[in-house]
Amino acid sequence: MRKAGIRDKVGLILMSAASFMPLASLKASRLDRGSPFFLWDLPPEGLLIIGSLLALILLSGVAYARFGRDIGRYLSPRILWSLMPAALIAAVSAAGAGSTAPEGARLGLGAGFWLLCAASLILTGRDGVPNSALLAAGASLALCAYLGLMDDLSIYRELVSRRTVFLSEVANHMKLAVLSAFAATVPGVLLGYWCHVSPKARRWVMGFINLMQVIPTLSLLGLIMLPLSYLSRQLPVLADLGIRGIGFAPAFIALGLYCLLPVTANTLAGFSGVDRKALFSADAMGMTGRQKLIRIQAPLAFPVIFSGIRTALSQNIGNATIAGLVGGGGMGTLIFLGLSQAAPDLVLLGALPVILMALLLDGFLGYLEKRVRMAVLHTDD
Amino acid sequence: MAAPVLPVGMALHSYATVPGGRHVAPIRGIKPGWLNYRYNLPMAVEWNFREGENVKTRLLVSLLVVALAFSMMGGCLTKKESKAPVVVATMLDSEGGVLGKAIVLLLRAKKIEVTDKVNFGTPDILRKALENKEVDLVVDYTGSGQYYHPEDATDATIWNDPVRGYEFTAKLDKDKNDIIWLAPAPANNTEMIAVTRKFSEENNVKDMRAFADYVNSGKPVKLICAAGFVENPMRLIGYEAAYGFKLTNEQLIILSSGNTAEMLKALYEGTSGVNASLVYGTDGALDQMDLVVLDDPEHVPPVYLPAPVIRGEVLRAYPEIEDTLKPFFESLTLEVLQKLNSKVAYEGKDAAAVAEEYLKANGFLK
Repeated sequence: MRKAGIRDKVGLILMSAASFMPLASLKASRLDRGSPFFLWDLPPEGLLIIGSLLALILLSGVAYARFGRDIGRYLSPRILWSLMPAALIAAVSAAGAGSTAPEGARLGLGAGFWLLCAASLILTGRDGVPNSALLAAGASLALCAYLGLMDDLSIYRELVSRRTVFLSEVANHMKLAVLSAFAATVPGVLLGYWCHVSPKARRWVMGFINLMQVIPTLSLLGLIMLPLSYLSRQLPVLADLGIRGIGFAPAFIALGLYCLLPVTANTLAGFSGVDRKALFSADAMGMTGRQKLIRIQAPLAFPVIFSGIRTALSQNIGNATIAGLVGGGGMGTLIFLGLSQAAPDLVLLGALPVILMALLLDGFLGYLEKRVRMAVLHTDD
Repeated sequence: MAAPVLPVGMALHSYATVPGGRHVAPIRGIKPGWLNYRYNLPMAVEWNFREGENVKTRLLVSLLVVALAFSMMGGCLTKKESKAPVVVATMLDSEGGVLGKAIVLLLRAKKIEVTDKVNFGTPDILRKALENKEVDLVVDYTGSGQYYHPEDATDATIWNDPVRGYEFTAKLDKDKNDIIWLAPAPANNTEMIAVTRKFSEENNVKDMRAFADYVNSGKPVKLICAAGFVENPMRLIGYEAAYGFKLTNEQLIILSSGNTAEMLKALYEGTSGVNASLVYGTDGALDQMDLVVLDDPEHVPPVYLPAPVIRGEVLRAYPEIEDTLKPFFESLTLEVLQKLNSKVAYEGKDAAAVAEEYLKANGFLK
């Protein structure tokens, strides 16, 4: 028998705990709190769907133990766990179809559902969720939507009723977060290098950047809006370029300022961390200052700087929600609209893509970082 | 920048070249041409192998190029058309959604080009955007004039009169900011107090006088409302003075924002013993949650009529906007607005669909 790792234990404990939480609730209308129902309240066909998936997982697990390998590449017990979210949705929608609810009634997904999904995703991998599992989960959920199994879900209805806005806001959000992070990279790296060469500058620059970081986002936006609207009124050219006190520009600047800390701090750390011996050797070889910078310091500091940029991008995806309050667009528009209407599912519809975007971007940059590290340092760690 | 193609991976990889043309042994682990080892990047080749070049200039030039690229990117993203479309923006709530989408549809039907910024932001942001010419046409409420022109709004009684309050705000905005208030809707979206129908019937509380008697009799009361409502002499303090009652801090639940959806939910579900709530006159939930708005015979709070507000410059460019919007806004009574808001907030329908349905049913749109 294979020993269960700590991740598996956490996953299994989470799963058993989540089984006793409300799976979903039947809401008479959008703002209704709804009557919750549990796993054991599901109709027989719903239990059958979940039960057969569990049986399949068990079967492939037994086969694994018996033959010492997976029965098929895509039938390993781990990968099968990724089908659980879709199975749960199918089961919940079967419950919805069985009830005699009035027009406009909908199903809100409960804590039990989200935790069961999280637990099954934890169980898909030994360390981290493998790409194949994510792909399988995504594909099975898309199939659910195609088959109409999601039509009664509250969050899906919110999506359908504003799908055009949703897509444009996702694009807006991405644009705002990624562009402002990239725009902050150049000054961030230059400031970091300046801090490295001049201890005097370090005190002032790092002090300023740390100050930026502790100002609450909304206050920073307010602080930026005042000089920006003054500037755009004095210089109409700026206003024509889209740089005004409200909308894209203040959000862009505020997010860029927040990105300075990780980029600058990591640049400083990267340059400070370069091995002195390498620098001494370079001196001994007669390298000039700029040769040392370009051939030795920059390549050695690069991986650290890159992870700073990665941190900046991930935090930016989350921070960009605040743009919704100042007309900058993004997922914040949906979240704040949901809050103003006390509609939790609309808030969720705004928040889930933000999480997904942050995770996907972070994964992609992690992959890129690995490649760059290999290319620059010729090492794999 | 064209780079000289060098025999990558040959002798150059084992020896670093330093100024003066001397050859020295390579440092272990770091190979010259660090980026071109795997990826044949011309910049790295140049930097590493051209002697006597001015790296500083090169660095400056490339930085300049990057900066230029970014500014051009920014310029493209927010490019302005020469013939500007009308930018329609509204507040971030259900009513802002429906009224904004209806305005967009009506203007488009008149072949006016529109930029849709419906659900733009919070009220103060929206007003600032209008003053800064970021947006052209918004939906605002007549009573807000007291905040826009506080130095002139000395006579508080005009805000209790729908006509005087509207005319006062419209005149000041036109003279000072060249902002025009068009015909308002006859629906007072003001701050009232609501109770559940059950509570109203059990305690025979139908208006504020009865509510004051109920409070003074010492029976349990818990009012949920916004911080701005409590501290304002024209709101709760005004109600208390006009009807002769006083709520203690223990009888209040104060939320920081004026988000009534949250409050009405608490009232409807009786969370924390809440039995009275702040409500806006056109709130969609009133219709659905079976709530009773308490009558206010003394007219304590200011009148808030929703009205389209447009920049003078834009109205002069498109004078037909005034007559296009007038009949639509005049059709919006309190009940109509409650119904429209309820469809968005309660049934979860798309604001644009609700607006279109209403416009078609009432002949404003073919």
